[in-house]
Amino acid sequence: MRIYLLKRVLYSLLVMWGVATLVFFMLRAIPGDPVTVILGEEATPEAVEQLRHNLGLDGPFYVQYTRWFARLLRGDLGRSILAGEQVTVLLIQAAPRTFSIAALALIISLMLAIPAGIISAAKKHTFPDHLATVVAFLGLSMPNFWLGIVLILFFSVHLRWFPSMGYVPLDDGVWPWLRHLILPAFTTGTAFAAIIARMTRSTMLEVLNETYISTARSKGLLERVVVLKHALRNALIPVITVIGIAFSLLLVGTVVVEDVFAIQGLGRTLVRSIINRDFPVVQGAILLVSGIFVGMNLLIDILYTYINPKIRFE
Amino acid sequence: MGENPRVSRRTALKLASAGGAYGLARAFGVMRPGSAFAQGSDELVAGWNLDRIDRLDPAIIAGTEIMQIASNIYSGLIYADHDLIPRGDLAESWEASKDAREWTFQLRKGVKFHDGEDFTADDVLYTYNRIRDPKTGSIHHRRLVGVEKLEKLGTHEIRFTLKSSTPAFLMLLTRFPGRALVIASPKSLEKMGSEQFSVTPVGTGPFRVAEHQVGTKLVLERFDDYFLEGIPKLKRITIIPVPEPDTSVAALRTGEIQFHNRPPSQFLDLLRRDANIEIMEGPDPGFQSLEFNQNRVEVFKDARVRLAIAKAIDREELAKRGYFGRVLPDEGPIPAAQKLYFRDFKSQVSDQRYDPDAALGLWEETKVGKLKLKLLTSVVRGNLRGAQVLKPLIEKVLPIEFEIEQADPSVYGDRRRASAYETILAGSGADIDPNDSIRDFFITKAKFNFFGYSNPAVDEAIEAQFREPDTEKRVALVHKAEDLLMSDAPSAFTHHLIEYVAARKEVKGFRMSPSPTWDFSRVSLG
Repeated sequence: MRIYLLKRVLYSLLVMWGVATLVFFMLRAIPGDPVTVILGEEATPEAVEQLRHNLGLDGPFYVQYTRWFARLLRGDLGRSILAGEQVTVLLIQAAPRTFSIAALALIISLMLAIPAGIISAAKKHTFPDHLATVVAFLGLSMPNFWLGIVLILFFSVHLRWFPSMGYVPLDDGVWPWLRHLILPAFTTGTAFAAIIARMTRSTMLEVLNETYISTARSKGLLERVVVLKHALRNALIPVITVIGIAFSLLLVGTVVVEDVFAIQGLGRTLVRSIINRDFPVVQGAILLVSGIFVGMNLLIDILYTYINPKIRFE
Repeated sequence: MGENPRVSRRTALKLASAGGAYGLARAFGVMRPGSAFAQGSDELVAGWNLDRIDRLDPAIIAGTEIMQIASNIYSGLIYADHDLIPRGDLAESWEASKDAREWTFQLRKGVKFHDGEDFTADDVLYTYNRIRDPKTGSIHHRRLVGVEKLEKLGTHEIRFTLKSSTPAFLMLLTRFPGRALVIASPKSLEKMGSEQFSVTPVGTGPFRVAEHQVGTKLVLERFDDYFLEGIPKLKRITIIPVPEPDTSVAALRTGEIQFHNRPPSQFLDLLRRDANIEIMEGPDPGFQSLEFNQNRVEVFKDARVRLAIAKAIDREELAKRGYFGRVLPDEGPIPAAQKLYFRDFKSQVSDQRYDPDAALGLWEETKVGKLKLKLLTSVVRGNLRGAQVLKPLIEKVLPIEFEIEQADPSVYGDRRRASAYETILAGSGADIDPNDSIRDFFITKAKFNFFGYSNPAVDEAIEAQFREPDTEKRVALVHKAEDLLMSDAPSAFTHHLIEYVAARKEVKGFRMSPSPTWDFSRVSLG
């Protein structure tokens, strides 16, 4: 198991390096120049050349790459071309915001989706199933920027329950932190909850048709025990895989929600940096995000072994 | 021994949920429409229409939204007041020689930087040398090309010698948009390096930077040693970038932000209906136009083609549909903000007046026939909506087919500078002097003349107003140059923007300025 883990970690590092390198060269291959964004239309060719030199953007790509990679090995991600701030500082500030939104979105969506999925499956083709289906499709079809704005209008502007924007760190207190997160997390989690609910329903339905479920029922076990103990545990395995991947997606998929709620998280940082060709920030953020993706996949693989002891990696 | 009290799991759950519900109810009960940002009686929270506040180093500062903020951190030698009259900032007084070639300035004494250093003539020299040093990569050095030398005459006295007579020299020295000599602390610059200085700059302005989380907030604090007595009144200003229009409007309505530098125009009516919010407006000092790139489109070398397109634009319709009626339709480049030079074309006859029959007549004269053109816009800050409305307005009158191209800002700027476009709906901003509006764009060697326009008569007319020291005579010369520009149509002038600001009623003492200096030093919360 240990050797397996070690191998997986090494592969993961290799994947991250590959992604970062690919992004480095792809960014430079597409048209667009961050220096133009900084200097605006008043830029003179001399000022552009000078600033490009000051920012280390003037050499051949392989020189820039070597310089960047050497710095990366020392743990230095460089500075944002546009803001002047260190990329590490920008990411350290952005990451907890996005993690918080994604984690809370995940909790909210699981709390809604798993029970809904179970009920849907257990009460197939009854009113609760139809209701859950309709709600799930609504959740899937609502664009989250629209939902975010509607929630702001209702809960912030009319009821004054939650703030319409911003983020406060957990250090300022759990409640202020949570209050700023509820609307963005709910907005982010809706579509996700719908997917999980539908997925739980279909896997549950499959499992409920298995022979061991019939055996359990014929032994006279309570339906609740059959569903929750025997069926759910097996039905959750594919769901957990989706949760793992989806959580990683949530981390970068919050960009619209971050824009709507004016929260400078990872997604917003990444997208704005791509638009403005802020290379060091894009590279740093991609490295972090790919690390999260790879790490999450690893974690899910390990989780399998605990959920289903039949799965062994030796 | 007594038995331990036993609570079943079900009871525990019930208790927990009841407690949770009570907690929530209590929390909602005491909840105010608070915000993530501190709000005290002398602490203002302002929203800014930006993704983030960046590059606050005055040597490379660009963009009016950033200048509006930076004008509270820095001082220049001069500032332009609300009527665009130059007033002393760090310069206490000045004197110009008769030929306007030598300018001697007496500097304010007892001025301190936010880092505690004293301000002297050496700091002006440092700034001057830094701006001119090619290694700085500054875009403002061009403003100083007319300066032959700068001398220090005393600890608080300096003298500029210019290569030629420049009556409008003072405007170049304004804090913003002049930017040629915005004074930053040399000590802090050397200590931090220009990158970090861009994040946490140090100047002599009324507010100092207390904290800056890029993209999240910039916190400015009252600078107690500011050189003017009794100001600033506010203790703290927190500036938050809020690029999403709906969010900024919601935050204004809930009071999470009390001020917005550029409320979204589509929501102005909604905000006006809110009794707690006041909308202020003023003319933006700039012009917008459809530029004709003669380097790319051969037929644009024929002035009749250009004028025909200019005459085919229904500017009232463009303003109404393309900009929600929040702009001032016009046919010339001189903006209303330049009160002294502005002419209202509604009451006069201009060569670019909307006249579809005359436009078509001119077009037929040129025998160009059908024409396909590309219209470049930017994804983020471009004029996409305006371009989408302009396209059918022209196509309705002339046999032209426009294709709208959208580009990322980084590509857009590059293409504009490289003259890699056919037409573009763009213009100028922060023009506090006619030189900014016409000389920077339309003389043959103008810095923004990316479109290959050259007309010796226009060059001569623009240079004549540039050299004229007498104001009355200059006004007439500016009008002459503008008339020439309208008839020769290097661009089809379409409109001037109107600058809007939204503030909650408790914000007192804010006055809009036509220059990009949003001065918060006299603002208080009542």
